[in-house]
Amino acid sequence: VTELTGYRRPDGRFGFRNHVLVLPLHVAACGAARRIADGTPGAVSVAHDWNGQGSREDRTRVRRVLSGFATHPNVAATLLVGLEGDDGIAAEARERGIATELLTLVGHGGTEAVVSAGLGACAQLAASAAAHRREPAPLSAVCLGLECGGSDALSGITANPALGVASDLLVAVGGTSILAETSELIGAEHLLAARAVTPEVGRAVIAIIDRFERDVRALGVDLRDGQPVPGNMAGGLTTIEEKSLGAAKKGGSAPVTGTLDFAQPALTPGLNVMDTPGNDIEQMVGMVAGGAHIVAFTTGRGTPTGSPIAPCLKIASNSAMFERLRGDLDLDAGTIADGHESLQEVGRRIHDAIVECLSGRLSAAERHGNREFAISRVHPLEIAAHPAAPPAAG
Amino acid sequence: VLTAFVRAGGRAGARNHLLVLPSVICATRVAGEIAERVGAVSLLHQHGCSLVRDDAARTAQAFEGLACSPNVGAVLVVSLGCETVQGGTVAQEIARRGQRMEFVGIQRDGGSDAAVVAGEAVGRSLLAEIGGESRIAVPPARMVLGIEASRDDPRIAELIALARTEGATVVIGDELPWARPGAGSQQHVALVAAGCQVIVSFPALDQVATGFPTGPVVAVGGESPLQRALEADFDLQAGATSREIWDAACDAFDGAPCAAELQGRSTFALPRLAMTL
Repeated sequence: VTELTGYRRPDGRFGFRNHVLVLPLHVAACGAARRIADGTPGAVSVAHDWNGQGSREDRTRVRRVLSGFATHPNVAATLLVGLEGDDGIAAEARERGIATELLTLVGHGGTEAVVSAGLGACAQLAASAAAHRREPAPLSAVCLGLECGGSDALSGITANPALGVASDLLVAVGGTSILAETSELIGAEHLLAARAVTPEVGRAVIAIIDRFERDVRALGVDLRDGQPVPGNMAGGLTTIEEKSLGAAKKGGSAPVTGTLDFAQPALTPGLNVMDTPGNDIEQMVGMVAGGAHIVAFTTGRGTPTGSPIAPCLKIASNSAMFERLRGDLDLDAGTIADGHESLQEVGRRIHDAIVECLSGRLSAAERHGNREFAISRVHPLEIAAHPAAPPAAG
Repeated sequence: VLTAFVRAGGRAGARNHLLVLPSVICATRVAGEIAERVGAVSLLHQHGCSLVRDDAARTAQAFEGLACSPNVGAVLVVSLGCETVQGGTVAQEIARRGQRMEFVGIQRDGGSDAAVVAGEAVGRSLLAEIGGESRIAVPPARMVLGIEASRDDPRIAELIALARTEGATVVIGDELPWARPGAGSQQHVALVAAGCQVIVSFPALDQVATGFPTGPVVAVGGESPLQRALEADFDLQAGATSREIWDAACDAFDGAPCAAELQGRSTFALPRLAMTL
């Protein structure tokens, strides 16, 4: 079994990748950020559509995501590219001891000038990051994001409960897990609430699902338009409740120690429930911004997505799909349905793969350069610009 | 007299792009790699899944409108397979509207590596097909000029008058049904889907210049500290005359790259009605 190794950051946290992140803080800076990262070996950037306009709630949400990425322990150095300012994000990253530079389009007078200044700054950040070395790390330092995407009828029987076993193993030694995707917990909330460490946490779990259902109703839309998605149904899932009962299995049997808002830092060890959409990318971004070092992602249909700054391990729910899309997948949990392995055995295998991956082995998504990124909004721009739109009931 | 790529049906294209169109964010990496390998344009976007019905329909319409716009010579749709906005359905609609189209599916074709290989092959043959086309002379009347009027600027009315004198068609962004409530760059998708080959953008004074993946956006700066500071990202400044703006739109139509095209800046912003599910 591999010994867990990571990078000890100046603030004492462990990171398990050593990324140089070029982070645009505004949609206008995305082109420049991409060119800077493309011109710096080893650097990664993200793209998003945030233009600074939105409701107060969405501003908070977006800021939490950007700050969570800029200060993530998997990031050794951050180059922030803003429009005019940085909303205090550079100071937060520096406080944590992350090598940080800030450039703005206005300060430099446009895209070309920011790109040429950024290439120089980023080369220096990359050089400083290269000096960091791995050292042994305790499992209790790990924060694991739990995700399922493109689920099928086997997901809730093989891959999800096996991942639940792996999550329980991590939580048992003092680690942290994040269970998310609110729309895919509908119908399973009472089971999670019953496992809460206190009645308050149980009520908070119920409240997350209640609020989501109320918001959807207030918008006058039918949840079932968007969930389950077409691939889920092609894979044999019939209703959102059925999907949820399978999805919640990723959380294993550990007590629920706390709830988190979207992208809120996960500071309490144990199993946390984060309020995110079921949308694969927005969910992954929320969990990673909240501190997940790695995402374990089960899939029945097969999907290649990954995070710009965290490894993403793909676990197939069925062996046929695993064989067909092998290059995009890391582990096969279909062996449970075939009778070749038990849930416990696959769970242990997932646990070991998580340790290996954290210690440096690249996930399929990393080998392919999958770095999807999108920021979930509660009020998309159109609604934010029209206060007359129906408010959330309550 | 201007030049353009004349499409079947007579529409004029200011560009002759092969568009590699991912139907969902999960397919953007594969689409981007195919585009990079063959020398095409791709669309880096964040849409296509877990959307409510109206947003899914609007997203599909935007993809289809973009794919069938005259600046696009051919389209390669890249689908994951399980997404809400089904790539196969989008592809069928694009083909039904007469556009040259090919399709690859990540789940259907055996994963992302296989999809890249398949996409590269069909992408190269599509490029070879459209590469044989060349610009021919067309009158300015063949121009469909999109105007994003996100601020009051006296030059907007003058530009419309000039374009109309030359016989061009003018589309005003905030008069299109689903662009009306959107921020400036969100109007661009609607304008392109409406058939505009060139957009002249008058961003709000607190907003920046934005480009678009499949065509020129001629950005006109105004009298604000922000836009003054970012003059280098605008094609024309606060002092430019409406005649100069019209000439720049004609040049862009004729093939001259605008600032955003030169700098690699593009934004595909789609207004959404509701949060994702």
